[in-house]
Order: sequence, then structure tokens, then C-alpha cells
Amino acid sequence: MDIDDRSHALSRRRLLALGGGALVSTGLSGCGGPQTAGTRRRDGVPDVKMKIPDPAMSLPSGNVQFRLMDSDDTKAPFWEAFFEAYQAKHPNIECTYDGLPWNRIEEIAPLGIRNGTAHDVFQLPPSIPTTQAVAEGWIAPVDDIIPDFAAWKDSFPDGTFVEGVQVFDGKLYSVPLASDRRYYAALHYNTQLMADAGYDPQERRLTWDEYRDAAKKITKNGHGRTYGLVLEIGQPPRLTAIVRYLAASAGLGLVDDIDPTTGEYIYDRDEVANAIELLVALQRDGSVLPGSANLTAPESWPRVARGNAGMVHAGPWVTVQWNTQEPDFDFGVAEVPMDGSDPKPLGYPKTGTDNVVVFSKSKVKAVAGDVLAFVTSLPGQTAWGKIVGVGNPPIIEAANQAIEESLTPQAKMCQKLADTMVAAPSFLVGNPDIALVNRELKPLSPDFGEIIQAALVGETRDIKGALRDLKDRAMRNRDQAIAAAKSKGAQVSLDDWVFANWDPTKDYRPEDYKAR
Amino acid sequence: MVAETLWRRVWEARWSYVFMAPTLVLAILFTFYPLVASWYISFLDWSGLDSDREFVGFANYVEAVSDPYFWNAFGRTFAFAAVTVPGTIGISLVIALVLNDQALRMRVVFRTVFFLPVVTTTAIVGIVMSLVLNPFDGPVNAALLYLGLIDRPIDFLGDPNLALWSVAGVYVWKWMGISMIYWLVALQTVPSQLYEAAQVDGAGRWRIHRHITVPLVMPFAVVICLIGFVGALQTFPLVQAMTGGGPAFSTELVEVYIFRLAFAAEYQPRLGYASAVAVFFGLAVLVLTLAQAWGVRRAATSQRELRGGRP
Repeated sequence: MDIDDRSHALSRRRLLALGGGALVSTGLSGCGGPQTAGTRRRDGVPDVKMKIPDPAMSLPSGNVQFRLMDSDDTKAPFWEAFFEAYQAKHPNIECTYDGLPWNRIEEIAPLGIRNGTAHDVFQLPPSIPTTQAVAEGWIAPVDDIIPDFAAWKDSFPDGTFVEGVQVFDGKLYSVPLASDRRYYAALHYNTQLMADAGYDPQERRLTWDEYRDAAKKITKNGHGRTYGLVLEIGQPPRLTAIVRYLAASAGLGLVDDIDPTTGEYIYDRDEVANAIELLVALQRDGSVLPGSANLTAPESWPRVARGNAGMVHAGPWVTVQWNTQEPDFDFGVAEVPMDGSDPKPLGYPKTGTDNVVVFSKSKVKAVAGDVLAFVTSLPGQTAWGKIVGVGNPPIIEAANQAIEESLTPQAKMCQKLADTMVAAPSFLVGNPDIALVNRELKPLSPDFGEIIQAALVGETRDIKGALRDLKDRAMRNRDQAIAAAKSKGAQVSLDDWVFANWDPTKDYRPEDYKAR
Repeated sequence: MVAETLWRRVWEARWSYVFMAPTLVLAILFTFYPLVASWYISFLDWSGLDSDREFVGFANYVEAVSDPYFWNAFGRTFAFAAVTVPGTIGISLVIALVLNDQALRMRVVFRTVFFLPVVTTTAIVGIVMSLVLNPFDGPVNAALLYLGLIDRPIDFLGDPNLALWSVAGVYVWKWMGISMIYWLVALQTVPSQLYEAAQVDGAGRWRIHRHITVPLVMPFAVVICLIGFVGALQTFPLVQAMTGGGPAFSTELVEVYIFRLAFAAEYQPRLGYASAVAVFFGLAVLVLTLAQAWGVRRAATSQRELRGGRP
């Protein structure tokens, strides 16, 4: 899927913690010695020792500083453990890690880029597309700083690096540290409440009717203290993920809201409208936790762990969060409920996630290369997988196998759900000029998520009409973007979104692009 | 000759200028520069981040005029002000009248209690009040259910028909303290001899308020309305903390809309267009404020006529 939904979730707790969080990280950046991993280590995070190999390229011998910034989440414990080991190996390199919420990265990254003080390695905020950062000369290619580059690149799964995504003019600018083969809308549920309602979704996948019935029964058994489901209506991009998963479970094949067999947007398809109607029906049944209309995803997850709701749709990062923060909470993880007898698997992009870039004005690019080489090696990825967990699974396949025995039953289930997913075709691989079209696309308003939200809060009654209108607008928008891109020299047509040989139940392989 | 005297006068007042300098520098940096910059940026097609900025003339303004989201936000903003300004001013007047009574015990305590929300951080008030109004475990719904006034919890901030008015209610509660202080100041300008004379003449409480208090505090009323009105248009922190403009845009006031355009748009910030909307909205507010200022002068004139007949 396209976006990691945590990225733009500014929860109220986050907002409150913001001031304090900023202080903590400033405090950390201020201390010169090895990272204070011992004091910051979270409960339930495994203690993994890393052995840093000798550098394959010469590193600076004098005292230097190396700074890295990312979106924290569950990644901070990994970086803290890694930098502790790295500084022990290279005492002259003072390492600083800043794990910050996305809204802070949105502020800090552009400022740092502008005044030349950006972190040496960092995650680009969603408001700065990689294309733009490359075009502006803000980030450096890693081809020359990663030792034995060609062999290193080959260690990634086929199809990871794509021109227009991380590669520009043949140079690699952005390195994925994790795989995006993640089941974004897995049903996370309270095992006891679900059993009391008479269902076991891990034993047998629920149908839509059973799902609705389970929600009703949990609500009835809860006597006003527990409701069937909590839904993050306050965060429309999350609603799109849930509806996509439900629509696929009803038999619709889709990639980036497009049906690759026709190249058309899927918004007006019956499966989509039915999926939204299902959520509206749950709302009308009174099965949705009151107050959901203002909840973001991070605010909704604790409602299940606290027993206010029986179910929530969430990605594997919630499994990790509950496993570490609520070790006594007995929960299950299952596929989204299905409708009919022909559910389609979900596709995942092969291009990975948790991408980091190297700042073009960094004075320690060699260190950046050395760090990236280790983190993406088998030992580095295994340590990553053990500490970060299934929320951001290693992109190197062998590392996923290596961590398997350290996983909880729920995390294993997340892995199993991820295994049901298939590699989706990438329109960009088919024609890299689509990147130029994407740059010309105007935001749609209201967009898909906003329409789902309006339906759920009762603002839109004619859901099908709104979806038809959305499809018309999306198609027109793309036509205009194609025309604009063509006028700037792009060679692209509507056919570039058509993959006639696509089978939604199978991996789309590199050779399939040629045969389409 | 003229230049020389001017220079001499500046030199004589040099210390005044020295003491003014810090404020002036800060005002230039944080008030005048952003103001002028936003006029300039409003003529650009610019995301606010990249070096790709294109001068587009009045295109952003033309777009704003035909943007339904802007007009919806515009209408909502004035509806919000139309409800909150009279609400704040009316309630605070009643409180001020009660607290202005010298015989009332614990006046200071009550004043403090009513003023506390004013000095509390708006974002915190927003977060706490959204918990208080929560339909699932908020105390307001619990109380209403317990008293039997409702049989289903009310989703104060989740119902698009209700959310704006719930925010308005919190706004009135938060800001009425400041209007109360203005009213108290106004009430204390009324000479006590007038009240004593009226009492001697046998006037009751209502007639004293009707014929002495109200006419004498009227000019203040216009100023308080003006301040309240401008304040009611600046609602960003409260709305952002309580609803973020949702659900389904039902609480998206102009400031929240500008924020969404400039910073929170789904990965496509439009600082140029957001600036145009902001300038346009600022001009609309300016026109209304001037109209109100005209009203202030009118009221002041009529009061002077009332007092002594001198124009």
C-alpha cells in the first residue's frame, strides 16, 4: 500500500508528548559519549548484541560526528543498540540518533536542508518526494559510498530498486530498510470477547455477516462498557486502507486504487460501495465505539487493549505495540472478513519502506555508507527484525527466517498474513515517465478517505453517487496530468496503467512486464 | 534648516528611540515581515518548500473566489463569530454585574475562577474538553444519562451538525473571563453618586441598570464587541485541538482551512494559495472592523450628547 498511516497521525497524546519528546531528543543529542541506550531501552524490547565488522572502505580517522533522524515508532531501540555497538567499534565517531514524530520531521528536514545542517542520514518527510529532493540536489547517490555496491544491491529481493522510486538516472538515492509486505488492516481482536460472541476468526475466516454479528454480540454483551469495533474515522487515509482490504476480500483486484486489467480507478465498483455500506451498517447497528468520529488510528488502538472495544483493523505495528506494552493482553490477529467465495489477496509494493537518504552536504558520507551497508546486511537485518519486530519486517528475506523463532504467536500470524500477499505490479516500472505524471496530479477534494468519512458520520447518503463522481474526477485529473507531463516531454499514455496479463492472485514478476 | 531641526529633535529624544528599538526590531521580524511576505507569496504558485516558484499574478485569488471549501469555511467562521460574540459578551456582562456588587463576599475568588480558563493554554483546554465531551466515557454524557435527560450518548464533537456548536460552547466558556474583566473596568467608571442619587429617587435595581449603567457602559460595549469579534475569528488552536476541522469538514473554519492548505494537505502543500486565502480573509475582516470602528465613534458621540449635550 502507499502510505504508512502512522506518518500523519498526530494523536493528542503525541501532541502532549511533543514538548517532552523534543526535550528528550535534544538531551540525547547533547551527550557526547555512547548512546544512552541503557536508560532509554523500553520494556519488552529484546537485548540484541551486534558485532560491527571492520569497515570495507576507509573511514575518517579524526573525531567526527554522525547524525541520523527517523520516525522512531518502534525503530528507536534498534538504532540505540546499533550506535552503542558502532561507537564502541569507532570511538572517534560520535553518533547521534533523533527519533522524532513525523510532524517534527516535516519541520526539521526542510530547515536543515536549507541551512546545510540536515542530518547525515534521514527519512524524507512525506511532503518532500524523493524526485524533488534529487532534482534540487538535496540528497546524494549512495552508489559510491556503499562498499562493493553492485553485490550489495543484488542482496535485495528482485524488483526492489525502481527507476523513478529510489533510482534516478541510474543512481540509487534512497535505501529501504524494511519490507512493505505488511497486512495493513488485519483484524486485531480481544480473544475472550470474540469467543464469548461465538467466533474464532483465526480458526476460520469470518464472513461480512458474521463480522457484523460478532460486533453486535460483543456490544450486547458489553452493556455499554464495551462495543464491537473501534474505527479511526478521524483519520481518513486509514479508512481507505480498511475499505481497500474489505473490497479485495469481496473479490476486487486493485493496485493503488486502479484495476490494472483496465487501467481505470476502482472507486465506482460495487465491492467498494458495499465495503463502505458494511462499515456504515456497523455504525447504524450501534456496534462502533461512540466517539470514533474524532479518533485517529493511534488513539483507537488502546481502546481495544483497554477493553472498550472488541476489534480494530490495524497493521502489524499494533501487534508489536501490544506485545511490548500490554504483555498480559490476550488478543488474536486475523484476515479481514470476506464476502462471497472469491476473495483476492492484497498486493504489496516490492520497493520496500522505511527508506533513508544521505544528505548531499554531509561531511561523513563514508560513515553513512558503512552504516547503511551494515544495517542492510544479514546480521544487521536480523538484529533489526529481532528488535523492531514484524511492524517493519526486514527487507532481506533470509533475515525474516532468522527471526522467526523469536516471534510471539500474534507476530507469527502477522507474518502469515503478509505471506498471503502478492507482489503488485508497479506502474512506474512499466513506464518511468509515470513519475512525471504523478508530479502533475492535483489533490482531489473530497478524496477517497474524505468520502468514506462523510458516509460514516452521516454527511453523505448517496455513497454510490459520491464514488461515481470521485472516479470521474480522478480520471479527468489523470488525463490532465498526462497532458501536462506530455507537454514537458514525457512519453506516456493511458495504456501505461493497463497490465492485461495481471493475475491478482499471483506475484507480478519482472519478466511479466515485458509480456504485457 | 528643516532637516536640521528634525535631526536635533531626534537626537534630543535619542533615548526614546533606543528603548523603542528592541520592540521595533521584533515587530519588523515577526509582524511586518511575515505580513508583507504573505502578500508577495500570495502571487506565487509555490509549495513553500522547493525552489520551483512561479509568479501567477491574481490566479490564486481568482481560484479562492470560486473555491467552495473556502466559502464554506468563510460562512462557518462568521456563523461561529455570530454565536460566540453575543454569547461571550452577554454572559460575561451578567457575571460582571453580579461580581461588581461591593457587598458580594469572595468576589476575588469568583473572578479568579471565571478568569482561569483564559490563562490556560488553548491546546490543553481543547484536549481536555474533547475528553470531557466524549460520548463513551466523558462526564458530560455520563451526567446527562444519569439524570435521564437523554437515553443515548450525544456525540458532541463527532456529529457534523453539532460539532461546530460544541466548539463554540467551549470557546465561550474559555474566553468569557476576559470580557468579564473589560466589563468590570467599564462598570467601575460609572460614578457611584449616580447610583446613590437614583436610589434616593427610589429607582429599583432594574431601572438603575436600564437608565444608568447601560447608557454609560455602551461605548465600552462596542469596543468589547470589536475585540471579541476579532478574537472569534482567531480560533485555530482550539479547533485544531478539539476536532482538527472534522468530522467531514464540519468545523473547518478559515484559519484551519489555511493551515490545511499550507501545511497539512496530503503531501501537496500550497503556500501560495494558502497565502492568497489568508490575505483575502484578512481584507474581509479589515472591512468589517472598520465598519465596527465607525460604530464605536458613533456610539461615543451619542454618549457625549447624552452626558452633557456637547458635541
